[in-house]
Amino acid sequence: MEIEQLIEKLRQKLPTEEIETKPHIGGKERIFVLINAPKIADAARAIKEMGGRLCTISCVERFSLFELIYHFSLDREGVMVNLKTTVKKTDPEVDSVTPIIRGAAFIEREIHDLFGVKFKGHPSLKRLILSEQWKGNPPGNPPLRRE
Amino acid sequence: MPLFKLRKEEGWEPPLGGETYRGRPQFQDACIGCGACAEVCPPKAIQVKDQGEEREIELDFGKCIRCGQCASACPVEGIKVTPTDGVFVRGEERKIVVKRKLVRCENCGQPITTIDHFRWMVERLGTLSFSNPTLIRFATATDSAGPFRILCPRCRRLEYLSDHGWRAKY
Amino acid sequence: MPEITIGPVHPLLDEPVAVKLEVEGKTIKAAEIQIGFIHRGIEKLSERMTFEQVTFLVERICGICSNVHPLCFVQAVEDIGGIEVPERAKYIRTIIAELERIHSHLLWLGIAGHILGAHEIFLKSWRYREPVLDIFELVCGNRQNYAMMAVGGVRKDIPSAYVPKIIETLKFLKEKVPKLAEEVRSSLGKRLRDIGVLTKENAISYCTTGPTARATGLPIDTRKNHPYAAYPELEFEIVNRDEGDVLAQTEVRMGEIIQSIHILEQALRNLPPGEIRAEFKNIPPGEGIGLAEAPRGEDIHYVRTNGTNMPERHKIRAPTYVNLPALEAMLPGNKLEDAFIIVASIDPCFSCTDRVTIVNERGEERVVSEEELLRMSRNAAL
Repeated sequence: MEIEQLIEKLRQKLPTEEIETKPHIGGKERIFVLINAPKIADAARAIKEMGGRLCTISCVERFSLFELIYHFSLDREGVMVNLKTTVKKTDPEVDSVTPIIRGAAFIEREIHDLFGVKFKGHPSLKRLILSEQWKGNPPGNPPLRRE
Repeated sequence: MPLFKLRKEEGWEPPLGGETYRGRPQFQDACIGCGACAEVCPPKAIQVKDQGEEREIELDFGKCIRCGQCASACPVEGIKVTPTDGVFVRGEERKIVVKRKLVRCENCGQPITTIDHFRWMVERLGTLSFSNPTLIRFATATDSAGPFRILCPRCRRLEYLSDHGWRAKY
Repeated sequence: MPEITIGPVHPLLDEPVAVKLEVEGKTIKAAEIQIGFIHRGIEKLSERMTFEQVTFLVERICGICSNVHPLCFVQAVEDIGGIEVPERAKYIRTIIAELERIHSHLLWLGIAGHILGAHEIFLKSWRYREPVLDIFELVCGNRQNYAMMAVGGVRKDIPSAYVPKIIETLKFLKEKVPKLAEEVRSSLGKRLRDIGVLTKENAISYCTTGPTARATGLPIDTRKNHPYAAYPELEFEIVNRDEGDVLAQTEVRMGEIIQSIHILEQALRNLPPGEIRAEFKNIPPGEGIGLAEAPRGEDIHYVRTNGTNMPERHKIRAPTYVNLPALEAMLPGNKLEDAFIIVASIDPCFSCTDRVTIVNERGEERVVSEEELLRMSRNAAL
């Protein structure tokens, strides 16, 4: 299906969000959707029903925000759909998508370890990749932050 | 290099690194001491140390990852990747050093670069080097102090702006 | 219920993992994965190195799939800068990627043979791997860590004098690999059937990729879904099976070796002339995603830049990362002696075990060495 039809279908499922495309040399364009943090679980469910597979979740640190980007791949159409959302640094909390997509468990645990973002509803938000000797549980001293 | 001779009867020999093997880099005499290898080295195995009148460029084989970026970045083939490599035995020196004469700024004393590097620049720029007072000293190939001082880029720009001599008299 | 931990350290592969198994008698009831023993902070290091230097850093994430990480990273950076890669460079990238796939699958076959006690298969598959590594030494300068990728193209060219040698190697492999596949099927087929089964629903819900997912019937392959390098112009098939057990994964991998040889022959025949590296001024601020198909699955790199010559944020997700949690669904219900081969069947990029601690109900601990666990695995009824 063409990109325009795909964007139309996305607009039907997620009616109030901003959708933009970014050109990619040698392939199809990539779709970026900007979403508010409370609606992320519904959006993830909608994309999963369209046949999307979660590739990974990236976390980028800005001045006073964390930006979370959920990368989905629609394998049949060959298009990447990326959901972008932001959380405040002072109290970083967002709904977990693990109850919907089981493969997100490890990914969210890693972001919790390295950045200190809390995922509500995650079945077991334990330490994943940092050693037990790393001093300071988040929110004490998460390593990938600039401070 | 024998490819499919898998038995001694077929002519198998123990494999040695062929000529295309990426082994240890070695400094050559053509090195001008510019330090480009140190800037691109990914694990920072090449360090540039300026002391007194001399610049020392040191390569630590313990950190070197044998990638060959130093040889790609070198402007003159002053460092080359050789096909030999091996484990270190006790007592063997793990670092190699090349030394070149350093040129310091006559105003602030900071190191600028080496004499060989200046000569290479003059050769590459040709007549364009006469646009730079420091390069004129190396282009005219005299060691005696001329009307132009050897200055680092910062001091040279300050001198342009303050412009001693001619304008100060009038 | 007694718990067995297949602990972190093993000399053979890269990243260690601890697999905690709850056993009842000799059957596995539940499994839990712990990782993080080799966290090296590569994403943090990337923020202090220039783009060219990061290309060499990410090569050293994995020793076996060492080409796919630089390929993914340079594709992400080229995505940001809008850099068009010359045709010849695309073909050379494809050639190196497919040669790496062949050598990685042959290595896996050897490890599987070693674990099951089939030493003939181990020796043969690693012997057939040698000519491929010799090609790498000839073309790239090293049997591992090829240092061929660069932003905008490739670093070194493949001179036409080397092409006949590569074709000779492919002819050798085309003759030997099908016979090896037949041998694997006949000697190990019964042992590997119906163990470690992953259902299609679980494969979708755990978001697995690579041969693990293709063995359950999912037709996903990054080379077809999100084509990159020279793959849009080359013909090949996705190898699929339906059963989802360890034998299906073995068949998928062996089929992929044959497909890789087919791709290589096409690429070498149609290698276009021209430049190998595109020029570019600087990378503008922005974000980019690079995707590639590693021998183990889909690899994704996300890079964000801020206008300087160093990345601001570099996120890496290697393929084993999403295949590992699927083990929690694959292990229960199987016998303890099959645990080793099931963990190895997802082709994990880590090390398995050095010591195993068995804790029984009385709380006593008994340390079991690697030899004993291997012996259990090899002596299981064939």
